Amino acid sequence: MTLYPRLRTVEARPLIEAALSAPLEELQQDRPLLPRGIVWAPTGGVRVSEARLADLRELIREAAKAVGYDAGMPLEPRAPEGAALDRRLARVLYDELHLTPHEASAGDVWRYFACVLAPELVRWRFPGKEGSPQERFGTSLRRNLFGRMWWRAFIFHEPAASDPWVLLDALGEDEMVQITERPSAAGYRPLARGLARGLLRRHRQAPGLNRGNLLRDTMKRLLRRLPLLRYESLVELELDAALDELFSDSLRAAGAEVRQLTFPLAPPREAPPLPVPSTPVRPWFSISLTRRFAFVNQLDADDVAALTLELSPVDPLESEPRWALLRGLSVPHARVVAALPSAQRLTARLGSNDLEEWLAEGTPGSWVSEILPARALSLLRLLDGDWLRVWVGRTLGEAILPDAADLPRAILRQFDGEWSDLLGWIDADVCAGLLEMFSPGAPQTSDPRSILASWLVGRTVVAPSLGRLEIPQVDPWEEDVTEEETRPAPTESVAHTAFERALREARIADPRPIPEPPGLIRKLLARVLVRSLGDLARLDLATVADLPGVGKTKVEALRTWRIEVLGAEPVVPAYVPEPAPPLPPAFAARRLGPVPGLLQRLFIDLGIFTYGDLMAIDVDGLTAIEHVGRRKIELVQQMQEAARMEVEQPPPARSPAPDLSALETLVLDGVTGRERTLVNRRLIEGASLVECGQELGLSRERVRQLTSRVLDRLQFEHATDAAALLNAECGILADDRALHRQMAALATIPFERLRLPLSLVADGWALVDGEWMVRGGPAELDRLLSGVEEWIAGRQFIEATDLERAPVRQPLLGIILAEHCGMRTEGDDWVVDVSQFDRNTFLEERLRTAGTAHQDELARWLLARQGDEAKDAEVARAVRSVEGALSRLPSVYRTAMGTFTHREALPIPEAALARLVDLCVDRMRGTAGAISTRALLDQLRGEDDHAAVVSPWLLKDALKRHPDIKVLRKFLVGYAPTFTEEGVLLGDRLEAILREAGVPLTTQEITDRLPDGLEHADAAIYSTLRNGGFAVTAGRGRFIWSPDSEDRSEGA
Amino acid sequence: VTAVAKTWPYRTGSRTRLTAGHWRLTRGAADPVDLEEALDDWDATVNLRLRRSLVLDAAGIAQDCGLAEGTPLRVMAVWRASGTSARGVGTCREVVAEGRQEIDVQVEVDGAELGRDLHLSVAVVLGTTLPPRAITAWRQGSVLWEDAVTLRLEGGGSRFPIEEVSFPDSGIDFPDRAAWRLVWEADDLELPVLGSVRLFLNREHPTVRMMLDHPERPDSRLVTAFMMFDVTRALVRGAVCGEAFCTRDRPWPADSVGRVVDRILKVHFRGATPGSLRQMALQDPERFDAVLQDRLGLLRMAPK
Repeated sequence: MTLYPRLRTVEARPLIEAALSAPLEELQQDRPLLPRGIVWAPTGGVRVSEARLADLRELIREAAKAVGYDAGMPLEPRAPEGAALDRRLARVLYDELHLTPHEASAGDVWRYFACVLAPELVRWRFPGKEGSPQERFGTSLRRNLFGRMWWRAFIFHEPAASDPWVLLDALGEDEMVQITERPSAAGYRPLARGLARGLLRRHRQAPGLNRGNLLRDTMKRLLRRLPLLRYESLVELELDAALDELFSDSLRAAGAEVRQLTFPLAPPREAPPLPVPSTPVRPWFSISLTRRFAFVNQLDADDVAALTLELSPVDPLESEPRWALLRGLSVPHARVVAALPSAQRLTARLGSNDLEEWLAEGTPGSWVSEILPARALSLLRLLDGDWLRVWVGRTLGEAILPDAADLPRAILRQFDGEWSDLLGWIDADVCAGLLEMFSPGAPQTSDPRSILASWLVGRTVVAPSLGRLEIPQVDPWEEDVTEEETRPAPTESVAHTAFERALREARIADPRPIPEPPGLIRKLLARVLVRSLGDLARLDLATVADLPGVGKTKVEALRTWRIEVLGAEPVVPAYVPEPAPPLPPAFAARRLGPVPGLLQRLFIDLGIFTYGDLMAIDVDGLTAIEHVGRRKIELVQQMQEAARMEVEQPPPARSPAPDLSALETLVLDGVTGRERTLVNRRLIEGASLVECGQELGLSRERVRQLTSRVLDRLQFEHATDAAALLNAECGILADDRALHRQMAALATIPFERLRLPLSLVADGWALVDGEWMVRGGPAELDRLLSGVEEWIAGRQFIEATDLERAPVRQPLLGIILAEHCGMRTEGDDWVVDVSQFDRNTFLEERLRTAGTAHQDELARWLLARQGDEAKDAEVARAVRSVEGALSRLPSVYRTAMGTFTHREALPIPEAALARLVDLCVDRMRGTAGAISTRALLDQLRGEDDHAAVVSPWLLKDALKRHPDIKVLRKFLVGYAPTFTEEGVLLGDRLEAILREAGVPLTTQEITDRLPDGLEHADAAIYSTLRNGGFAVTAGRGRFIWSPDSEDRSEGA
Repeated sequence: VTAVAKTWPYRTGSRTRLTAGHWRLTRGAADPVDLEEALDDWDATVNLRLRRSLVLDAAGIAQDCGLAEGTPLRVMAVWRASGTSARGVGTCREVVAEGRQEIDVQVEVDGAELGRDLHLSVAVVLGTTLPPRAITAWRQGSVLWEDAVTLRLEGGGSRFPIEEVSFPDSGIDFPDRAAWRLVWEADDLELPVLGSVRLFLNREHPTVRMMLDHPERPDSRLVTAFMMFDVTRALVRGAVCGEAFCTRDRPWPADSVGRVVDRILKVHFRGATPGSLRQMALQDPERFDAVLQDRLGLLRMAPK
C-alpha cells in the first residue's frame, strides 16, 4: 500500500491563494513535488517516491489533454468536457494511485493533489467568475476535484463486470452527487451500485422522465427507510428487488406507467398466520385515588420497584417502575395523573413496546389518550419524532378509532386548534411514518407533508415550516359532528373532586384506623394498603381475589370481617363526571397572558398554557402538590375569577389585528412615528410593500429599506424573525431555528424590560439573568438537577473554583445550587453544607500519615479524592489552595520549596526547634536587630548541635510562627523582633543610617547596581554596616563599599 | 453516558430476548481477546476479525414483534467505519422464529477500509416480506432487534511514523543487519514530526519480524519498549545537544519535532532547564542516558 504526501493547513493557505490568483501559465510550470511542510501518515504503507509523483502528474495532465485541455487555451471548459475530465480522472486516480479507503479518507492527501500536484487542472475544471472556488482545493472529499473522483470510482467500480466502469460512465454528475454525497447510501457499496443499476433499468422504461428527478425522489424514499431496514441483510437480487420497489413508487408518483419486473428470487416462504392479540390483563388492584396520587408522587424509584415486584411478580422488570404503577390507574383518575409533572416525564420515556402492552390492557380509557387532547402540545414538545409516530399511531390508531381509514382526520381532530402547530413541528419523515402506519403498503409520496396538509381543509395554515397555505373549503370536520360533540370536554378533570366528595358523603373516606384484623388477612390488608376504615370500605373484593396467592378462603374471611367492622356491606357510589360549564372554544384555546412569577413554575409543571387549562385547575387538588401554599392558591383563584368574569362579560370586540402589546413591550420601545406605523402594518398586519407605500406615500423600495433598517436596529435578521417572535406570543410554535434566532433577539433586550413570555418558558427555556438556557423542558431541568446533585454527592467539599467544572452552566448552576442543594452564597463564594468534612483536617491527617509531602502531591491527591481528572490548571489552583491551607495549620511546617512536614515527622525534635527559635529571637533582640536566615544559621552553627542539621526552610518557617517575629519587606528579607527599637529597619530608617555612615548611595541605588537575584541587600547592608563600610554577598554578585574605596561590583 | 432510546413504527423485540457474549477480537495469529473500547495500536494494515456468541430467543422476539412463530428471520453482524463511512456485513444467517438458538456471528474487516471509530452491531431482521399490517414489521430487512458497540481505532494517541522496509533491498545506505534506523533532521526542529521523522524497521531482521508478526508476545513488547527508548533517547539527545533547542525563546510550532521533545522534557524532567540538560548530556553522556532510563522507566516491567 502506498502513502501519499499530505499538505497541512498552514502551508496550504498560501498555495491556495497563489493558485487562485496566479496566471495559468505560472501554475502549469513544474514545481517542487515535496515542498516544505508536507506530512505523511505515520504507518500503513510505503511512502510514494518523488519520481512516481512526477509520473502521476504526467498521467493526470495527459488525461486532461485527452479531453481538450490545452496549456495555451483560455480558461473555459464547457460542461461536457468537465464531465469527461471527471470520468478520466476517476479512472486514472483509481487505477494508478493504489490508495486504500483509509488513506483516501484523509482530506489533506487530496489537498496535496489540488494544491501541489495539479492546481492548474482545478482552475481549468472549475473556472468560476472570480477564480475557482476555494473548496475545490480543500480537504472536503465531496468538493476536492481529485478526492471526489477517486471516491466515485471506488464506489461505482465493478471489478467483476465485463465493463467495470459502466456505472461511472452512465451516471450524470447530478446523479452521482445524489448517491455519493449521502454516506448512509454510499457507505455500503452494493447499495450505491444497486441504486445506480436500478435507476438505469427503470429509466429505460420511462425515457421521457427526467432521470435526475426520478433518482431524487427515490432517494427521499430510501433515506426514510434506511433507519428501519438493514439492506445489508439482503442478497444482491433481494436488494435489487427492494430498490426497484422504491423506483416503481417514484415512477407511479410521477404518473408514469410501471411495468412489473420480476427478479428471480427464491419463492417467499409461506408466512404463518399472525398471532391473535393476547387477552387484556386487568390492573393489579384498585386503591383510593388520593392514595395512588401520593403513591406515585412520593415514592422513590427503588421503593416503587420493590412494591411493583411484590404486587405483580409476573410483571417483567420495568426500566421505570413508576410507570408500572401508573399503569394501574384507570379512567377517572387519568387527568389527575396527567397533571403530575412525573407523568409528563414518564410519557417521554415510554417505548413502543410499553405502549403496545399497555394499550392492550385498558382500551380505550388510558390516561395517555385522555390527556392527549388537553395536553397534546405540551407533551409533544417533550417527545421526539419517532415517539410521536408511535404514540399518535398507537393511541389513536387502535385504541380510539378502529377504522384505520378515518385515522388521519381523527388525529387532526384530536389536535383541533393546535394542529397547525403540530404540522409545523413535525418533519417530513414523521409525516411519512404516520402515513405508512395508517395505510401500510400504499405507495408513499415524496412529500408526505403536503398530503397531511391537504387534510387540513377549510383553514389557513400558518406554520413556520410550511409558509402560508390556503386550503379550499371542503371541511371534513362537519361530516361527523356528533362524534366531535361526544369528545370529553377538557374541563372534565374538575369532576374528580365531586367524585371524591361523593365518596366522602358515602362515608367511604373515613380516616379512622382499622381495628386489628384476624391473622389470616393481616398481611393481605397490608399488601393492598388498607389502613383506614375508608380504605376498607372502598376495597374492591373482586380485584383482591385476582391477586396472586389470594384464594377463596381469604376473600371470604375479608368479606366477613369487613361486615363485622363496618356494620354492613359498603356501597361505593358510581363515578359520574359532573358536566362542567362549557367554555367558549375560542376562549379555552387562548393563550394565557403574563403569569405572576410565583405561579410560573407551577404552571409549567402542570402544563397550564391556555385559559382552558386554567379553568380546569382543581383548586382543592392543588393542596396535594408540594410547595403550593395559600398564596399560590389565592392567586390561581383570582386568575380563574378574572377569567370567569371575562367569559360572562366578554370585553368589547377587538380589532381583527393581533394584540400588539406583547411585541411593543418586547421590542418596539425605541421605534416611533412612521417607522412604528410601518412595523405595525408590514410585520404584524402583514400588509404588502405596495400597500404600505401607498398609505405612507413612499415607494415600494423605500418601504423595504425602512423596514429592513428598523429590523436591523432590532437585531432581527429577517421579517420572519419578528413574525416568529409575535407567533410565540400568539401561541404559534416557531420551528427550532426560528426559535433560536428569536431567543437571540430577546436576549438583546434589557432584562428588566422583558416581560417573561410564558410560552417561551414552557418550551423548556428559562430566562436567567438575561441569559436563555435549558432547552428541553422540565425533563431536561430535572436531568440537570440530578446531574448536579450527583456531582455534589461525589465530593467532600466544593470551592468556588470547583464550580467551573460543574456539569451545568453558570448562572443556572447558581439557581440549582441555591434552590435545590441547600447552598448559599457569601460574596462570590458558595458556602457548601455538603458534609461534615473539613478540608484542613483532612490535609493534616494525610500529612501526618505521610510525614513529609510536596504540595503538588497533596493537591493531586485532593483532586483525586474529589473524583476530578487533574488538568494542569486545576492542579495549579489546587496547589495554591493547599499551600494556603497548610501554611495556616499550626502542626505543619514548611520545610523546603513547596514541601511540608508534619510536626510529628520533624527532622529534629520539636523541643530542639523551639530552642533554636528562642535562640534566634534572643540574638535578634540582643544585637542583630534584623538578620537573614543564612546569617542566623552561620551564627548558630557553633552554638547548637541541631543548627547544623536544621534546614533553612524549616527554621524560617518556625521563626515566622513566633509571635514576636516579623518578616521584613522584600528588600529587607530577614527577621526582626517587632518590639525592640533596633528591630525593624524599614526603608527610611536604613536610608538615615546609610547617610550617617557617609554612604553616598541609597539602598535602592545599591540594589540596582547589584547583579540580578539579589534580594537581601537591605538586610545585608545593615548587618555589615557597623564596620564602617559594607559588603553584600548574594547570588552571583558581590558588592563592597568602604569610605576609602570606589563602589564596584564584580561577578562571581 | 447518554442513553439514546430509539423507537420504531412497529413493535420490536425486548432487550432480554437475545443474550450476547463479548465481542472477541483476533488479530493475526494471536489468541482472541475481549474487545475493549479502544484499540491503541491499531493501524490501517491491521485486519480485524471479530466473533460473538449469541443465544437468541427467536420465538420470543417474534412474539414481542407480533409475528407468528416460524417466521423467517435473519441474524446478522454489521460494521461501519466512521472515518471512511464504509459499511459491510459479516455473518448473515437465516433462522426460523422457533425456540432458543445458539448462533456465532463473525465480522472480518479489511483494515484499509477503516478509520476513526468502528461501529459493530448485531441485528435480527425480518427475513421475508409479509402482508402489510399496521404496527408490525412486514418489509424484508426490517430491524427487530439491534445492539451496537463502538470501538475507537484512531484519535486516542498519536502514532509514531514507522515504515518497514527490507534494509538489504532498500537501495539506501542501511546496514543490512541493523534492526532499525531513525531518520530525522536534528538541525531543524521546526519541521513537522509526521513529515521529517521516520523510523525504518528492517523487515529482514528476525527480531523485528517477530515484533511485527506477534506484537502481543512478551519478548516483542520488550523489544518494542527498548526500541522506543532508543528512539526517544536519540531525539532528546539530538535536540538537547543542539544550540537551537536551548536558546529557543518562543514556543515550538504545533506538531513540530521541537514541540515533541519539549513535551518529553516537561513531563520527565520537570523543572530542569534545557541548558542544564545540555550540560549533562555533553559533559557526562553516560549519566544522561542512565537518567533518561530512569525517567522513562525503561524495562521497569520485567518480562514474564
